[in-house]
Amino acid sequence: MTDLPLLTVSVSPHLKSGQSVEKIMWTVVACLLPPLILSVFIFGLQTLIITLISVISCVAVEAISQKLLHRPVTIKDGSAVITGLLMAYIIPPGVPYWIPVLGAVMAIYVAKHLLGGIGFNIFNPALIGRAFLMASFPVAMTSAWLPPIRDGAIFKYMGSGIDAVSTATPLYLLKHYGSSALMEKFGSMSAIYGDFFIGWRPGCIGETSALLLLIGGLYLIYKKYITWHIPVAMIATVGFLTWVFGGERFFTGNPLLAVLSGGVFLGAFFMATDYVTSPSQGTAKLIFGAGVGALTVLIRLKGGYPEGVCYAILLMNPTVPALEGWFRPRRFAPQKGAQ
Amino acid sequence: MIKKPFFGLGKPKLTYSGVRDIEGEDLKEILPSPRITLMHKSPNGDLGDLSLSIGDEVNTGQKLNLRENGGEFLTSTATGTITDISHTTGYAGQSFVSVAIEAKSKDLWDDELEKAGKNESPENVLPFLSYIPGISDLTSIIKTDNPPNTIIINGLDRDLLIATNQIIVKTEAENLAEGVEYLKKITGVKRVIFVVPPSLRMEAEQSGAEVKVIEPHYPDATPRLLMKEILDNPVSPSQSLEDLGVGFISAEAVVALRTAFVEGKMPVTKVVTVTDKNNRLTAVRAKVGTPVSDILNALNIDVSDGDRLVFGGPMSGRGIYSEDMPILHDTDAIMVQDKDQVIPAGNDPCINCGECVRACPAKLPVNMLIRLLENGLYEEAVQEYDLLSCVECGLCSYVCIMRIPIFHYIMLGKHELALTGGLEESNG
Repeated sequence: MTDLPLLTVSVSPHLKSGQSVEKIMWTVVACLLPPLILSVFIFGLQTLIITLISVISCVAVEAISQKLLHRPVTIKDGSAVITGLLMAYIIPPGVPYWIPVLGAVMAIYVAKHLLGGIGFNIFNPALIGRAFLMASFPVAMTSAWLPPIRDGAIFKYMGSGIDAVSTATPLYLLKHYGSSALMEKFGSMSAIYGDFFIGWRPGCIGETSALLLLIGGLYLIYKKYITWHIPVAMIATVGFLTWVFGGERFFTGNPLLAVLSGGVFLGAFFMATDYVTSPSQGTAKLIFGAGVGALTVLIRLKGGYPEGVCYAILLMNPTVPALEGWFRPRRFAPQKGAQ
Repeated sequence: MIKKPFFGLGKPKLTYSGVRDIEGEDLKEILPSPRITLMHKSPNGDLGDLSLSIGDEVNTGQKLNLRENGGEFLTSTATGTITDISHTTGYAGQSFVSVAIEAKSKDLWDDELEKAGKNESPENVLPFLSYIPGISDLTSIIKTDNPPNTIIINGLDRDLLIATNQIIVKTEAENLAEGVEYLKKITGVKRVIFVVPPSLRMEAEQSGAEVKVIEPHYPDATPRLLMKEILDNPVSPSQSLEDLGVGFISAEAVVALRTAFVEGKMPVTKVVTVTDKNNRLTAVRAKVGTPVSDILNALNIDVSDGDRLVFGGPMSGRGIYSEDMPILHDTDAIMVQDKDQVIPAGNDPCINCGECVRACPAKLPVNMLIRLLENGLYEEAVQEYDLLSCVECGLCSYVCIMRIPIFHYIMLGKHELALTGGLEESNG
């Protein structure tokens, strides 16, 4: 029988859907690139450098962590690239270049690999990176807001010059001075909606363009890489609760302004939908998204920070196992006790 | 096989293959092989007390009692001399006795069955028919204690890329009708339901059975899903289908019954759907016991090192180790996969994307289940996450983006529980 071929034997199924984690991760990366390109024109070329440093640091820290922990190095799966991109997107555009390097160590080594690596992290690594930076370097992280460039001078903020021009974010103005101060600075409400929707406003590197984030997010939904539940629940909750509680009196808040400012779109489509740190099924996703939205509004209106998306998602992350347990799919077989 | 909706809003559906996917929409006969190997699943792997021995002459259709007691038997599918008797281990440690026969080119038919059928009394014929082609064990529906009140004839197939039953429904509608009559007679069952895809409705209606047409979406023809869809009688994990009084039989087995009763001959051939490396389907009729290599040679399918041969379909079929392996009485399909198409399982942990949960027809929280199964917590998997409700379709593994062998973990879990007797104690 020596002339018979040596066969491969393995367990069924013998077909695969053709979907892989690499494909998904690199598609997410592609969806995240347009806001980055736009940010170069809004805040200047240094945003690209900060993002590159963040991505390279995250990939390097991932490789080193995996070597140190004697795990297979999996930088090719693209997950560290996404963490690097997302972390850069939620830090202000005028931070010193060493900031994302420290963030990467916290995000990838501590929040991801010390917890067991991909699949085991409780919190979204990019958000942990930002939360760590906010707590450790509050001055660098809160004084680096830049006014949008209107004349195409993308080298404007390179090098020194940054300290002189820092500005206030819309949410900061709203929180401390009200909407009249906002209109004084950014023009009429309709001009504000237009600018904010496209992305011409002060904010973090990648969070400003609701339009591009929406396009990227809708593409991910179309590809079925994420579902609509979390983004819709989160954005709707932020809008609704701001409308109810965000004004001088009840039901006078401005929901559109609330969802167009801060990191709502970035958080809703790209952060709160992270597979590992969000629930996998419909009802649990809706609750999770609504929870993130509610906490965001709570922090914005009553908390110490003008923006709350980052902490809202981080606070909802550990509820995922409980949500999965409570809102599990309905059993196909007859219910227990019905036999 | 995979139909994706154009706008990507609906779910992609996996569809069963149909008769029109088969080359020529007809059966090819495979010439009788000079080497026939019969295999019998025998929990007692002992070869010491066999009543067969090397050198015995056997005839075609002859019932070969394996041991003096116990009722285990093989049906010879050829005329010739026994050249070897050995013990083989199959999937999950199943023990087989395998008997090799050097076959002559001319069949001499054994006449025991014909004699038994003379007086029109089915009881005399049934003892020959336990292992007819198309059903793993006929005694599961023909039994005296707790007999079934409903029988479902599956005119679809068990898996993707198989059209074995469908080609039989298409080409042997009249024989099937006769078979249904005998099926009713021997089981005493009043309600016989015939499940077919829309394309075979006409043929099925000639059978005299109650016809149910279902869309050929995988895995809807799985027994437990049929129970829910057709009989609206979902099976709880602690029950078997037999507990609910329902028996399942394939269309092929019904035709085999007719061969035994009408022609007085043991059915010794099996229809097998062969899928080549380019996913082209051919339906062949070959004797049970024919080596896979003979069938592949007849179809000019080359197999080389690293390729994969599967008995059954792509979702739930089982890889075989050698081309020498014979087709068994319940081998519906042989799938040949090129080594380039073999996608190995992954080692990475679950990242909770939820695809498996959305794919699961039994609505199991597969993402939670797999965490317990990976750690060997089988009892907990049953109690917390309904391990035993699994309908064994394999879709969870199919869609897994991390390529975790979820289906294998599930089967392993069920197997381990069965070994420790946990199934009876901890059912949901």
